[in-house]
Amino acid sequence: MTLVERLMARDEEALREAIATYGGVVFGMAKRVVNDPNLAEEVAQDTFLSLWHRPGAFDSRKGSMGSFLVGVARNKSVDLVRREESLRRRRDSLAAEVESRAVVHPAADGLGAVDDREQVKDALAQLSDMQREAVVLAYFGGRTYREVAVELGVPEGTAKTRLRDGLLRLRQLLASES
Amino acid sequence: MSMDRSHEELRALVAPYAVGAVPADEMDVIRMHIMSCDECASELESIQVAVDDLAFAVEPVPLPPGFTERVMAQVAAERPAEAVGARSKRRFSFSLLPALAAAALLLATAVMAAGFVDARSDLGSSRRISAALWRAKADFTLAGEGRATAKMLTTSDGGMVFISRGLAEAEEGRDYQLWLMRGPCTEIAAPACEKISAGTFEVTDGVAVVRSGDSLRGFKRAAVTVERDGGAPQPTTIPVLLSA
Repeated sequence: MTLVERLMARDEEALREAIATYGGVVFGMAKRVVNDPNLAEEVAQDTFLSLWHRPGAFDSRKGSMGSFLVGVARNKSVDLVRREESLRRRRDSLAAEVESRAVVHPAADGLGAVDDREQVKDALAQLSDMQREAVVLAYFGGRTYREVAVELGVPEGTAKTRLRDGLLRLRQLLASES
Repeated sequence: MSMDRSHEELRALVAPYAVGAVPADEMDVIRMHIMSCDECASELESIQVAVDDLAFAVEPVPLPPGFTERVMAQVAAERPAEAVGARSKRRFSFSLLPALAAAALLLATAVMAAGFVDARSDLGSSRRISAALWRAKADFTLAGEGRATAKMLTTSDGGMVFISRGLAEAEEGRDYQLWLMRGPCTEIAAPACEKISAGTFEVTDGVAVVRSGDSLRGFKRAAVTVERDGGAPQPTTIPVLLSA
């Protein structure tokens, strides 16, 4: 039986396995977006409880369990950030992140090969600073394009264009690497 | 929001839409445009790949100590509630009249207001009681194809009663299943819209009644789907009845 089938059969051991395999990336995404360990744990718990309540929501034709769960964690995190209006609180640290071109490490973690992560990070690093800012604010910051415009001090149309150009460039870079 | 915005103007919203950065007030207009514009639909598909890939940029962070046990404790805490749900998942094979009578007693106020002061002593007519229930104020009104309709009401004990008219009897090996939904349920297929089973039921003479001690509080919509005998953990078919 697949993990999803076992979850649907209410096998609690399957949920433990899912947490062991995907917990790190789910928590990583939550922590990155909400920027608070306690809230991030709340999001991560909620993500796995959703998986337990609705394993059928995962569609294996649309991608891996890892990217599905990270997507769920990201959506829940963005909802939380928007709800709690914790934007102000994390503005400074996010600005620092926009600047950084993180390097680093780790071992297998359920989302895919480390190569994938390095590829995506390389691709992000190859965007223009303006494109990267817009993409990072929208994706990891949960900002709407209007909020991106305000934060970057540009017209709304410019924020939309930077998002579009950045994402299309990302697509191009990742397609040519794989 | 003007509906006659230019294609170019709307295309500029496709990338923000893909990354979840379209403000709520523009959601409908961009969704509708993407549905009707091949160019924007294919751009969305292409950008979506990049957005999905962004998930890979996340660094895993070790879970806080005790995380797994805290999740499993919540799962364990939900078990008794699930047992109740499982019980109500049994077929409602009781005859219609006692169910209606019980519902009528719980809705005594509504029934009396509807002119059935003698509801307690005169339970002989299920048709009259269901007519009275039908006029009571509903929490949810469900509609479907043709003449099929249903209502859900809160009873005086804080539970609920569901009553439907005009549904055909389910085919052999199939059951009707009642769902309560909470969370963002504008799109009921969205994973964030939580769908909770309120049990399966059968239709007798075009009428069905489901009684449950569970509260309707916090739920935003209700639906009925046709599922395999005994019901499904989540809806697998398009609702035959759905509330607004």
